[in-house]
Amino acid sequence: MNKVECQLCPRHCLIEEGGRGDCRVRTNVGGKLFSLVYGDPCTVHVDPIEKKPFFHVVPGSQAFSIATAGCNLHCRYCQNWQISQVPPEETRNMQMPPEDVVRHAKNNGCRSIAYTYSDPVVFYEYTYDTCALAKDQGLLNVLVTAAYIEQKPLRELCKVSHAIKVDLKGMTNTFYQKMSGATLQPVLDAIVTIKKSGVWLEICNLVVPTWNDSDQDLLTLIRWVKNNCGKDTPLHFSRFSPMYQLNDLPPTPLATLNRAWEMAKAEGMSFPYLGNIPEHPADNTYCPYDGKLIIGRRGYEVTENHIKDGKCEYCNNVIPGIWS
Amino acid sequence: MVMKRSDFLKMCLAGLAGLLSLKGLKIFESMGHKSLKEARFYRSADTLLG
Repeated sequence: MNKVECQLCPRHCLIEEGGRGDCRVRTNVGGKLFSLVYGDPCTVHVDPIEKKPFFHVVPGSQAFSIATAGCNLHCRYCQNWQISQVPPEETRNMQMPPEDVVRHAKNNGCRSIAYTYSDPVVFYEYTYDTCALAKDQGLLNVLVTAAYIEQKPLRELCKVSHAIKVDLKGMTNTFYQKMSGATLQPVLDAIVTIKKSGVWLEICNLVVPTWNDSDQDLLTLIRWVKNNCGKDTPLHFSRFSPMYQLNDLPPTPLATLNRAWEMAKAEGMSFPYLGNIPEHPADNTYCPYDGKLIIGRRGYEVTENHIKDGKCEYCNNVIPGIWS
Repeated sequence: MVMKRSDFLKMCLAGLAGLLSLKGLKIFESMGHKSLKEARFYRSADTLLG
């Protein structure tokens, strides 16, 4: 008796009295479901927005970045596993209600608040309330997520979000099951919903040697993004480094990433990027009309910006993104 | 006064049940968790069929 069914993510955890969901941060008390992490972030930091990465959202600005413990995926390469794969009792948490998050973001000169590191899906109520307050006060809300979320909560969250970067990890259900303990289709559905909502969308794929780095894998992903999100969707291919439960694999070879970049361009994607590779030309933004470099980057630093009023300074064509 | 073992066990069980109750919620809060926030998207399993 007193069991509850969580309906936030596709797991639909059936939680007994006193129990928790798979994410470790939602609990059944007296037949009601509660978040254990509302207002209790374990990580708070000011980051360049390029770190998320968002390349078409107020470049060169700072994002006030927060996360709580927990996650509803269990990726074997998670770089934030110390907070994502533990309950909140095992993290050092601050008390920072939504109004304090907004106040700190402003006091630190941040243009946006980023909900990131673990996954804002699992601290949904905290994310939503903070987003609503921040939006009212003129701040941008940028979410970094695996997008393993049910449609109804996602549609609600899109109403208070400005930009979402989705980690599209692979293009097979087998990959999602073996790498992350999840499934593929809900993520694809979420991406389509985000696109349709008008929220700015960027997609990132971590290329993992022997797992999702074949030409077929990369081509399938590129074509799916182009057909379902449009050629102007920024598509980031990121270099894997040995991490967490995947310490036996080598880093992604540069040749593999270069191949992904070239394939994306050949398929007509306007804004393909490579991540975690120092000083690579794929760090930069090039105008899809005249080919000129319009945003130069070195690491997370913006070195030059030739976008004026949302247009290429040279040819005056509109460059999609949120530029102010 | 010496307590019977059975009474002692009953007391322990009652205490455990208390932790799981809404009163237990207050004890839980005092252990470092502030007020829990009710989740938005869930339903009682009592409404599920089967």
